Amino acid sequence: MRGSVKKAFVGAAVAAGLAVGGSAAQAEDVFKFGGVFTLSGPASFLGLFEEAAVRLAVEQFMKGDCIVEAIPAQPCEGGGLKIGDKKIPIEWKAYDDVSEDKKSIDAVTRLVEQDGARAIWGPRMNSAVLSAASILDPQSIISICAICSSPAMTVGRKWGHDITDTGVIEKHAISKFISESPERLKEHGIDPKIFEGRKKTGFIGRNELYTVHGSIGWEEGLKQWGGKYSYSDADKVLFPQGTTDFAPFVAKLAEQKPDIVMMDSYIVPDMLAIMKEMKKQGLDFETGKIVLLGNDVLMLQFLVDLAKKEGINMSSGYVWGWQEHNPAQDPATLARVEKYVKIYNEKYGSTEVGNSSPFDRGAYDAAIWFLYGVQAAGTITDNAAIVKAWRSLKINGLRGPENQFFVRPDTGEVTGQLMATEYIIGVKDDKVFYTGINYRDDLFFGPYVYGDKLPK
Amino acid sequence: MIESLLPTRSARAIVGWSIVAAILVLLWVLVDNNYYLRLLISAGIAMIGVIPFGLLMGHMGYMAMGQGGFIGVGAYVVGCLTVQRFEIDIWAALPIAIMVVGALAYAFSFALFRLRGYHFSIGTLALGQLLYLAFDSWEWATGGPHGTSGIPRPAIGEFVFATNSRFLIIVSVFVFLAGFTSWWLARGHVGRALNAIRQDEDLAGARGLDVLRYKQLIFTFAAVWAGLAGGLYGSMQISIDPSSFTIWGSFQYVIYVIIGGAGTLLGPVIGVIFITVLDQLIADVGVWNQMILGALIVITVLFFRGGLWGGIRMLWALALKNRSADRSAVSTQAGAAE
Amino acid sequence: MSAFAQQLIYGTSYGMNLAVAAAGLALLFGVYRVINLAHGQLIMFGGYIAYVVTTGLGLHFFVGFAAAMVAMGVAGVILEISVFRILQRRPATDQLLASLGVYMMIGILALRIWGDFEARPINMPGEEGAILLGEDIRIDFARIVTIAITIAVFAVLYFVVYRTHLGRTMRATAQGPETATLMGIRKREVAALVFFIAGALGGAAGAMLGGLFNVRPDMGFQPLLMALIIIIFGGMGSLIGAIIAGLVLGILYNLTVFYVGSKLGDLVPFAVLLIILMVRPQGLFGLPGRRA
Repeated sequence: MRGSVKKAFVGAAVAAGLAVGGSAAQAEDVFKFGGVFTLSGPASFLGLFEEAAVRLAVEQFMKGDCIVEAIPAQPCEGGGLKIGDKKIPIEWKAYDDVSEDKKSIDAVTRLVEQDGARAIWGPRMNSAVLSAASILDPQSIISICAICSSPAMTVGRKWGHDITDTGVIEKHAISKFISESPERLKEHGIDPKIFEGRKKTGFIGRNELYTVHGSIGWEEGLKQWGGKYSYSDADKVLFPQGTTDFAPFVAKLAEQKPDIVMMDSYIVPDMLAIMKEMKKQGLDFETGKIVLLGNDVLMLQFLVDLAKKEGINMSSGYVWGWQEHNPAQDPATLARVEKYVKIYNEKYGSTEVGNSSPFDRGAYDAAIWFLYGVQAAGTITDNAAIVKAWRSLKINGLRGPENQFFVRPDTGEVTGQLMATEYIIGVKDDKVFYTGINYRDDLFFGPYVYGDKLPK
Repeated sequence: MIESLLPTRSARAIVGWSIVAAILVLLWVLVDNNYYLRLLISAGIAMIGVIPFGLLMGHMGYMAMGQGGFIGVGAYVVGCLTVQRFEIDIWAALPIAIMVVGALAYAFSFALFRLRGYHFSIGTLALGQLLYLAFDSWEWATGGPHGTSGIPRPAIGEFVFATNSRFLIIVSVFVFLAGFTSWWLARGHVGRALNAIRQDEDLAGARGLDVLRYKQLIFTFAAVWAGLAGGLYGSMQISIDPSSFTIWGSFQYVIYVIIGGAGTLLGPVIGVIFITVLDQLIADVGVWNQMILGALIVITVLFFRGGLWGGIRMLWALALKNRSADRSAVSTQAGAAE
Repeated sequence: MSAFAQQLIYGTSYGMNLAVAAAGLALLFGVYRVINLAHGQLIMFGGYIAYVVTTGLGLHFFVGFAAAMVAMGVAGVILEISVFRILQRRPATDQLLASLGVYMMIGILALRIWGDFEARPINMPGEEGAILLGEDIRIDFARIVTIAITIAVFAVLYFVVYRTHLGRTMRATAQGPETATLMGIRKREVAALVFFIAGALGGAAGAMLGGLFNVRPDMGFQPLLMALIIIIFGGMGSLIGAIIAGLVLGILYNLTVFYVGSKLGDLVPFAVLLIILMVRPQGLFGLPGRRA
């Protein structure tokens, strides 16, 4: 048993390996920011394009070709952030969280302590967002996410920035759409008969927090817009991650005999499987037995094309959803998008990241917007000034003109939540189209949208 | 040399495990970097759960695949008592968490030890999954998919172990206790009983050994430490949700033990250190990092009999080739590890 | 009542799928006492092979099905040579962990090739059609096809195991390596064949699961967990046990989701397993006294 001491020394040698590798370098003349993304494990597509878009934004900023513009205007001359007379280069670093909370917080800590990042992009998962907040907020580190959809990103937080809508806000929008008066619908060329006599709604999604929030927003919204439709949060149908046979879940949904179904999923294979099974089990949106509502992924042209290949017709007039990207774009925005898509596709089109979609455009906007914000603050070290300057900037982005942050009506305070506009989208002749109806300010109500604290 | 200075075996073990804990504390002095401190804390928390688990898996030969569930129970009991439903002090919550996990493990041990080998592994896996589903469904206690957030760090009076460097002290103390109690159990009659159980359980039973009692003891012991590790994990992460306690967490414990070296007390420690360092090294690789981890696991298992610790001992033996007595001692030990 | 009957039908088809997913695992476990966690990823990868052949190359479903079986059979042989042969005298835990490492590697490989954003459908014969019983009980053709395939697969497997020389050898090996050596069996060829069959069964399961809906990188995990339960529940190495356990689990899963709660479906297999194990540790169809 001379072992124990000997063993301990060997252990020490290995443990000491931990400490090797340099200490945190805090350079004054480089602006460092970094991110935590899901690059492997389930849902890696979410991380791949977001990371790709932010990386591209940094490169374009360094090149002096930002594509999108800030209001009021900010220079984009290349060579880095223009702070006073100096040009400060930007450094970007990203880590994989493997869809694990612990790893994502490891990476957040690494970025802050080791890499000296002043702002952190991600993490994505809800409890990781909350854990990250407890590390970042006390140190005044800015945190940003463009795909998080989680109220935990911003509610009650000084440093959190959610540059997308949330699962709750989205449901407020689509529930408002189906509650519109027949006159308003007619005005936009939508036959009000589509919604006539419908009462009961159903809700299906994968068992995860995004869906749980979605169901809350759905119930809130339906009540808020007049209570024409019935729904109770308890009726939501949730299937576990990795489900391979959707029959019992769709059967449970069908058993509720809904007139309208809200499909709250963003996982393309799940969505197509559910739609296929819904058709089989009589929840038919092709004949108008039900109205199918879905999110911004459902309203991607890409998805409509995929569905068509699988024999699903989404053009019946009974399928609706939303986009937070303005589809009726002015020529100036259109030109920006074209230019961006060309650059993006050349860079990533043939890699695992794939071609551009509205989602990477949102992440790109967010990144350039943030860099403009740093410039506007005129400092790379004073995060309070950066947040203040950034939140007061607007952006003429790829999503549409004049995107801005949400201002709380009760306090007049600018929050870190994007004031998302939801554009209602339908499908006609296998093409997605914009109805002309969009919502913004009205959607921002309820405890999950603003308040000082998230409800327990 | 050294052993002659230490009068008893237990004194040597105290010194040995103190050194492991002291290394953690020493690194705390040397390392003025929150990131390394966090890695040390999470490695320490893993060791707290894994060293006792090594007794169950390595010494006794029962591979449990549901430790993730016990970690989760520990974390959620602490979360529920400190923030979710009650507001009691974490020092009171931790012992309660340990008792809950211990009672749970003991209750289930009666059923689980009707099983052996793979059946036992899959039985524990089922238990782990059931507990995971409970975390997801029992919203009153766990917050369901919302999780529990705001779990506090412990404090003594006014002194809060809030920063990573302070928290590491607590973790180091528990690493020492986990290592020492495991060593204390592994030596003497319990250790002999575990060996007998691993080699031939029926024979041991026939010779009058109360096999079930020892198995239950070790299973509960490992679960209790896993629960404590969970409580500390919750305190480290501050926010938890069911996704932190999946089957993957259970697999990770198994990986630590086998990569490090099953059947030894220090093997799991080495496994934890190796995987922690490796995780950071491959973080820069980007999208292929999990591929590398998978490949390294396969390679280590294929080419290092008895894990890394077995490999280290083999090299040690090679270095002392002229001392044949040493070599034969090592090879018998390596054989016993199987 | 018709809702109940409908769930029985869905449950049967799901259970049959699970039985095929478990068959390969059960075979390896029965003959060599090996639990190959990478089997879950063979199921997934088999699905992708079937996708490439049917949807990509436009060939008939059964061509894709056969291709998936052959490709995953070969993958099984490669696994045997590169991993399990080396580990055959090592503790069971080593084999389990090595196969977990392989599981991770195959998962990343598929993710890097096909990504997880797109849906990859496999065109199955008679996908859209269905037989209607009465007013509202329907049996989809696709489900009839999977049930038929399952029965065929198990019939062939039964024949191989109980009516061929290879099967006798396999059963002899299962009795213990010493018996097999006494009988003069060349172990390597047998091992390669057994791993080939096991891999091929995984490929078949993947093609079928993917055929009902679509193929995705995470589709191997749930069938793997269910398969682990099935081989314990049905008794190790028992083919009949696997099919009955698969059916019971599939049906119970569907009934729970439908009548109790959509989130609670996953609870059933694990709860049932724990209860069964307490009552009958050797599984429903395993031989008493032959514990692992």
